[in-house]
Amino acid sequence: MKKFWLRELVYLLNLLSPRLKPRTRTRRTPGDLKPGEEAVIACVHHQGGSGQRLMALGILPGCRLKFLRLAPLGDPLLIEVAGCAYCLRRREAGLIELCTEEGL
Amino acid sequence: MRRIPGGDQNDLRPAVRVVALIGNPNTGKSTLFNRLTGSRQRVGNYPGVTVAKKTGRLRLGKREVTVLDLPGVYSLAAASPDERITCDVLVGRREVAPDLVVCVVDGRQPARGLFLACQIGDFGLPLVLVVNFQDEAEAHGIALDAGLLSRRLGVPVVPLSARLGAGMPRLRRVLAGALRQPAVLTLPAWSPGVQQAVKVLRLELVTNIRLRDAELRRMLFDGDSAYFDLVGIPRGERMAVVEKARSPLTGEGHHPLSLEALTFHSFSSRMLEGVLTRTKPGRRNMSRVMDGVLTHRVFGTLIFGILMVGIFQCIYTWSLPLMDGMDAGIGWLAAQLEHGLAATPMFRSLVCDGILAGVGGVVVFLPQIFLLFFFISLLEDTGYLARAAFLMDRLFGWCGLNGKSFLPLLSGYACAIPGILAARTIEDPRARLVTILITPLMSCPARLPVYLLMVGAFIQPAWGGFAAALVLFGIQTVGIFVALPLAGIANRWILRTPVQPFLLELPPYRLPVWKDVFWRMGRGGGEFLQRAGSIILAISIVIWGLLAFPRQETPPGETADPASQLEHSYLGQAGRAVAPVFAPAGFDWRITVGVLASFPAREMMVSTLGIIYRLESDEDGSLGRALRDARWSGGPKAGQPVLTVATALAIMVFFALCMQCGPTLAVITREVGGKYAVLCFVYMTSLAWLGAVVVYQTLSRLPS
Repeated sequence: MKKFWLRELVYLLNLLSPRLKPRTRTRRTPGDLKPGEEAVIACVHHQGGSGQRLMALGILPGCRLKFLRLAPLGDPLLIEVAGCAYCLRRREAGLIELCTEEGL
Repeated sequence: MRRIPGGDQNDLRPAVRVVALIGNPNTGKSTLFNRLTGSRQRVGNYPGVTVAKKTGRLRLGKREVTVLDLPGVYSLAAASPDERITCDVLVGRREVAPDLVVCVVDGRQPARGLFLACQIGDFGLPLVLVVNFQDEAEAHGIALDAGLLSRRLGVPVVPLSARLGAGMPRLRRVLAGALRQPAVLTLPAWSPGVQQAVKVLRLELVTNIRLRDAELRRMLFDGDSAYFDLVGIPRGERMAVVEKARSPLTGEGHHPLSLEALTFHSFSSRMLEGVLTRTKPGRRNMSRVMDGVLTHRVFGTLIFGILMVGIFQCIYTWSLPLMDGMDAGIGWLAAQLEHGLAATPMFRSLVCDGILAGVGGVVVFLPQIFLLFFFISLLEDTGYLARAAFLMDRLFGWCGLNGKSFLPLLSGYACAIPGILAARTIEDPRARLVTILITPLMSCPARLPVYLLMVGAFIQPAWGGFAAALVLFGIQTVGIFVALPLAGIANRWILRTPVQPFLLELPPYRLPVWKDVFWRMGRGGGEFLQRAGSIILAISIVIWGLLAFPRQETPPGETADPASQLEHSYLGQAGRAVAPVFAPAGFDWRITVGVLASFPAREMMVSTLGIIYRLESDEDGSLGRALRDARWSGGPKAGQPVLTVATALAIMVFFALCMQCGPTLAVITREVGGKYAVLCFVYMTSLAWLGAVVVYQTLSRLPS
């Protein structure tokens, strides 16, 4: 029972601020960019059907991705790929791995 | 192939041919459909508006052709049953397979649309490619060599602008030609690994359903394909079958889920090479500039709030003069009828006290309904709705839903029924169920008459006009503020819904097509009038009967005391019997009668109160004044007004939360089953009672 409440407390804290979560991923994702910054997509990872959905939209390795801005409540993100603006949550944005250096 | 026929259409075969329209969301597919068929349907600038399949008729020369409007999709990958419908229609599993597929592509983003065209080509269906938004593409300095693209792909390519109607005659000629001489998009052959995998999968599947190779490829390429439901393989065995079939792909060094996207996108970028040219440096992207403000952390949220309050302020104030006019008209009509029918008192009572008071009381709110639909379609057509979804998505994230629930919930503000249907676009069955169950909490226009009556009669005289608009806005949002935490609890602890993905394209801002806006406004108002003419008319007559009978015996020459007649009528007795239940919310038996009468349709509250107060008093005054003047006739509160600001707010909260709509329950039953309809009714009604009691008990205890 104590464990249950502890888990729910952690869950609620995470709801309030997604950035409290310890970062375990090492890949560079759109959430790591500054607003207005661009990068090249290195790889799109798969998790359920999300990766496939991203790729169907033309969010593909080799494309340039521009991080436009963050929503007022900290999630979702607004990105631009090939002239189209997309709104996606941190979880989906985490599937997009960016090249670490420009023009790679 | 590019032979464009002249005037004669004689070699079209006699059977009715079927043309299917498909394309990415927000490519103007529905506008094109309306242009082609002349019929009207819902068109919006929000991805995913078309949920149900629509059909229309197109005249090509002397022949009629059926046009199917399919839901907007980015890909044929089918993770939800709704997504598979598109594939099923394309291969003719639901009805006759289309003779021709028209794939609509956004002229500014042709690459993305070509991906879908490739998938259709993979199914081996005859194709015509329509490149829409040519006007906007040209303004952006993008020129398209349609002839070159057509020669490369082997199918006709028609650039046009559906919004302006440019290029439509040419499309008609090309369609007629393509129906005579179908052409399929030619794709390079699949790699040996893919061909091997398809063979393996065909051997592995034990089914008597004939699946095309392309459908087997869908099962290979998609993560969790809805085709397994069709084939009927239980969940546990799916992975083993697919993994076995996919081994030739992984052997070639491909990720099976990435393979299709990479293949088709590289093919379409090869096809587009040299086809697209920039004629002039692109204009500054105005949509991005506007997004800079409208999605801004501070200004965007502020504008969103102001816009929402402003809309409700407009709905409230703009419609007042119109409503007064209609009220006066109905009053005049009632006076004329009363005079004309004086010879037959019973019939006069039915017409004036029953039908006119009941239906007229609701029809008065027509201007508000028009304005509400006007603003909703305006928000949708300009593309602002997608921005609102971006700003508000986090709230949905907190309760375990995603922005896809935004459209059902917002549609719920127009009517819960299309909202519940729109929930079909949600893949996860649990997230869909939760969305369906909370959609009826959204404040639909049927509640508006009740709110307006209460606000006009109590809030405005007490607190002023601006407060009235604020209260009106507030009560419209009560539903969503109750719905979201409920959805959160249901998702987190009861259903344990997995976290929902959210991916939404923000369409460019566009000026609305006024014709479409006014058409939707007219249709919304028309449906409301239809309801007033059918259901509300019928229930009005029934309620009048229940209130007018049994007649009290009166000595000849005297008229019965209307108040005691009411109290002893069937409905009056029922209201008195149930009144103790609603007593904690401050409702008297008249209000209780209204609440009981409004369970089939909530507008009946206003109608019933109209009937009750008209039967009770002989003077002609507005219903609002009659409500204010009502006094307790006995008991501890004798002489005090029945309805106060507290009671009015309690009534409004009750109506905001209560499930009082027969058709909605019927649709929920059809969509997810009867037990959920019962659940929905029980939870909403108990919530409404609780809300009303809390509001009344709190407010009536406040020192005034």
